[in-house]
Amino acid sequence: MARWSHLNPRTGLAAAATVLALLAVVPGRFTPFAGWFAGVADFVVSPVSAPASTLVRWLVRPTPTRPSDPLMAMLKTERDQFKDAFFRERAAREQLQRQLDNLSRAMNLSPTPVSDGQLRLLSADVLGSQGGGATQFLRVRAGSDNGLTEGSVAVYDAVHLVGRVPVGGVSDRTARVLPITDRGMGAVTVAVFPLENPANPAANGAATEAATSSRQTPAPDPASIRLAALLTPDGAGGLSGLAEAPRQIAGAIPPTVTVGMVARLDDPRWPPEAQMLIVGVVQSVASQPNGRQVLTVRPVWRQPLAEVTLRVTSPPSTGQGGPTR
Amino acid sequence: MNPLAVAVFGYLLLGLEEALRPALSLGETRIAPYLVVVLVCFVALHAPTLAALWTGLALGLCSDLLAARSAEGGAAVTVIIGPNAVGFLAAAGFVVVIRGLMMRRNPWVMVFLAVVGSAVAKVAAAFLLAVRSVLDPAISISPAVELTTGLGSSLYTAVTAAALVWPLNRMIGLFGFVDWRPGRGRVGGAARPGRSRP
Repeated sequence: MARWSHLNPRTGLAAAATVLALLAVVPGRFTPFAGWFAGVADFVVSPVSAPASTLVRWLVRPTPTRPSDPLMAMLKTERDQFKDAFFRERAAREQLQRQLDNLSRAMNLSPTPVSDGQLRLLSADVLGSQGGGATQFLRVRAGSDNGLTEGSVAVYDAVHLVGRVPVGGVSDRTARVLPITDRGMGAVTVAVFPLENPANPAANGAATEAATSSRQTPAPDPASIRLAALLTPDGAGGLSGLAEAPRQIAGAIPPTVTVGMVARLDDPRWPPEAQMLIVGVVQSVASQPNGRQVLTVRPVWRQPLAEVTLRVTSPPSTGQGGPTR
Repeated sequence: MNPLAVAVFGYLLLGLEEALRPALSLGETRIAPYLVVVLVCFVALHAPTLAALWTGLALGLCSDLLAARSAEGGAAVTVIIGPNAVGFLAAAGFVVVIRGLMMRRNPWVMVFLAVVGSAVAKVAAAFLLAVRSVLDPAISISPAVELTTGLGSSLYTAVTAAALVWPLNRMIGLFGFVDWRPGRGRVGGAARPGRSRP
């Protein structure tokens, strides 16, 4: 104590400020201890923040997890899950086909589609949001004690992609989920299927008719027509970006994106179990002079969410696992 | 100054800020009011200079530890120590510099200082984050977005400052502030002639 008593407070303040300014700018590998201190701070503050979050969620009505009619909700969920599985299998099939074409002698490079045996689902309450500046994570009540692993994907209502658990985002009992709409997420590639347009059935029919009326070349499989788009979070709860230029099909009207179409994740940087999950519905489309279309996609879910489902693919840790609720 | 009172209030406001920010956000934006910086400005308005600056640094450090950020395109989470600490220190320093010109018991002064102080804090933090994003490309930070979000949130902080100024002024005696002007004595209590602080 005596050794510190002669330390000038002004000098100490200047030294502390200098050290903190340096820590703020040096790369993360020089501050590996920050995560541990953050965990302690999170633990210490939680007696205040957790009850307050509960109160806030009680006052601010979260997004309903299920529609009011249970039968309709069940049918809708089943339909969405079948669609999800269908598109995922088709994407995997197409990828395999491409690899077979290009690397016919390298069979071991084929990706392994997710099998149901590997996939586990964890239902977790959303405790609130957490983060600094422009980034806000969802804090969920599931952690490594429940077998949750980094890179797991969070969904709402079975097939609507909410976000994923980043590296360093899992603690024993809670985890952080970075929403796909957060600016920190960066760009994602989605596939928009012109045939899957719930808002405009006439467009679906026209596309099908146009695609099948081609007489010069073999008609493409209408279900295989899709447009890729690179979307980035717009900071207002949605994602926006350019769609790829539609391929010209002989004798057919090139497919275009219209409002109401469904955008599904088709990004190799995401885990296989996340592919073809619904990112959102096309809310607006603007055409550029060069014919490219600028899409704005909004997820079905809105914050605050009451709960999410976490899709975990890695094997559960021994003696753990199971739903958290 | 009573450090225990500042610590307790800081602890409560850190927890409340974490819980309330999502609910108070403007739509889907990340613009939401600050609570802790209001306390920093309040302390800086009344406390001795060094105590005010140390308070800003400490509360900013706590705020940094609770502010997780994304890295590597959303694939990782990281904690950056320093931006808020230096920012809150700058805010406290700013208030200390201009407090001599202020009518300190006027509640609107507190609201004004909270808005301007949080703006100063966020500008300083955005500068450090801009430097960090250059040196560490893995971090997913857009300094422009941080700055606009921070400045928008600073304006919004007027609401929380207006809500907090009355209870803080009512409980000012708990903080044990001694007027930094000679011969004024304890803030919020009876003046004690003869006691002065440079």
